[in-house]
Amino acid sequence: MSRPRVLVLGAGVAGHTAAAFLKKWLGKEAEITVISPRPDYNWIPSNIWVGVGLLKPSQVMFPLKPVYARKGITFYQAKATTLHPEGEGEDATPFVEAESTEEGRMGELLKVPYDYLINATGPKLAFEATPGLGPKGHSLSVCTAPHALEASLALDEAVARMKKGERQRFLVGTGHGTCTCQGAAFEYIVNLEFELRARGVRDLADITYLTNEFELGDFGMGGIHIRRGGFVTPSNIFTESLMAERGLRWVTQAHVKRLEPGCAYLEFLNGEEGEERFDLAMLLPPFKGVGLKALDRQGQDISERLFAPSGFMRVDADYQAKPFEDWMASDWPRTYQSPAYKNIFAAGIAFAPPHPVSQPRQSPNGTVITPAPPRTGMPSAMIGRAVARSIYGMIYGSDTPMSTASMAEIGAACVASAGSNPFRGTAASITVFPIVPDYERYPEFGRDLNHTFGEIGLAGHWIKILLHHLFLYKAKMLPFWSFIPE
Amino acid sequence: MPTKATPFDQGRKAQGVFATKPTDFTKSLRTNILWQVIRFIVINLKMIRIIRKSHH
Repeated sequence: MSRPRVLVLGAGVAGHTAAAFLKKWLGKEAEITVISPRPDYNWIPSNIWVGVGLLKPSQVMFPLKPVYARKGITFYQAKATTLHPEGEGEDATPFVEAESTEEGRMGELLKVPYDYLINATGPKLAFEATPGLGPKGHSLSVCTAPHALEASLALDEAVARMKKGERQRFLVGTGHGTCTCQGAAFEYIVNLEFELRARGVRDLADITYLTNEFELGDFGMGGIHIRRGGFVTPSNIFTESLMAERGLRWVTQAHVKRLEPGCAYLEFLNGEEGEERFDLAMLLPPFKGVGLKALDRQGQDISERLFAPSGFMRVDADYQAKPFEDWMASDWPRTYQSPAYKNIFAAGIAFAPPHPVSQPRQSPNGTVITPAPPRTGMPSAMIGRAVARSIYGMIYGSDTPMSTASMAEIGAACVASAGSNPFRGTAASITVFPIVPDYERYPEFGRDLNHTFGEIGLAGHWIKILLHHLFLYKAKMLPFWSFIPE
Repeated sequence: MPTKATPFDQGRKAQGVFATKPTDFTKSLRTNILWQVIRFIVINLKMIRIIRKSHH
């Protein structure tokens, strides 16, 4: 009997974690294949430091090919385009079509068969959602290491101008009303401010934080509450404090309608319009699915059965539209198995969330200005591992997925850098439990306050450094890698 | 969470007036090596607790 074939699409945090654990648990009992359009693994949380010139891209990336070759995982550098979950014509073997992105084989078509499929393709960075947004337009990004490098070079130029006495306006935040990853924008702005101080030009910088959050500290999670000083305090208080302490100005409830050179045109939740002038803008794009198609055996398009309109994959969530008041923790997926095909799973950003976590809001014009839910970092890795465990169980005879990682049942630990220096640096260390509030279990605040906390200090920076090295070590699958938790 | 409208053109200074600010003592603790060594241990323990609680 041939070995079961597990195909993983994507080699980001979720996909790479899943592939690594599948190989560890299944060894030679299964054939593990990874398809990723990029040749490198990127530890994305450290891109922030690339974006302010403290790290080189090579310090947050490494080539995947040698790692996978060493561990016996097949790797194709290619972009998956079409799923054939029922096979094609007479042949019922499911497979994925992909186009090579490898130098010298660019555009070459691949057909990779599978018995189990994990879609961990991550997001498409939808810069096109806002005219003029992104590195090809008039703003910068730190979403990839090359983008972050570009941001760092632009920062160097801005600093050079400031050293000549020129005042500079920095605009950092979200470039669309439906963006997620506010945490990354927050990290970038506080690191930028720290770096401008370190370079002696802070007094010539006007720095503005622009966000689609209703209030600072929402972070796409509806904010969090922390016990501190005899009060249960919401995260907007702490986030405002951090901004005010650093002399940063903030603009909330904003959707960027378009960017022109040096100017962002905005629409606010109350329907008003405005503009923000800038010399350097780092604005994050909204995320969409990568645009995978699915065809049945006869070649009919069945993408709608597998994917939500956003392009993310439907899994075992409750996608029934309902008002905010009726949202439940149980709406969130637990196994990440596709309801259409039991041998297909989605992990990390690639799964379609049932709804946002933050309260949905729109302007009088109908423009949605609501953060999308975050599912990067620790939850992505935990979902990747849970999916891998379920597939392992199914290969050994289980009918149903045996491992779960609902974001309404797991917590997350997050360290947001607020300045990088071994003695003067700080970072906000945050834990939340659960990530998605569960108002049935925790009626008042939605989360367990014994496990939800946050504080800022040098210790957080040390932890951030430690995590940077530990997670890169783990991703390289070096000895004892699996002892490092997700 | 209490709601508070943030007008677009509200200036940084006006925003700062209503924001909670740390005292000098609090700020000094943030980079005090001895205190931060203790906090390093405490935060790591809290994070390990979350990781253990989250693994099903």
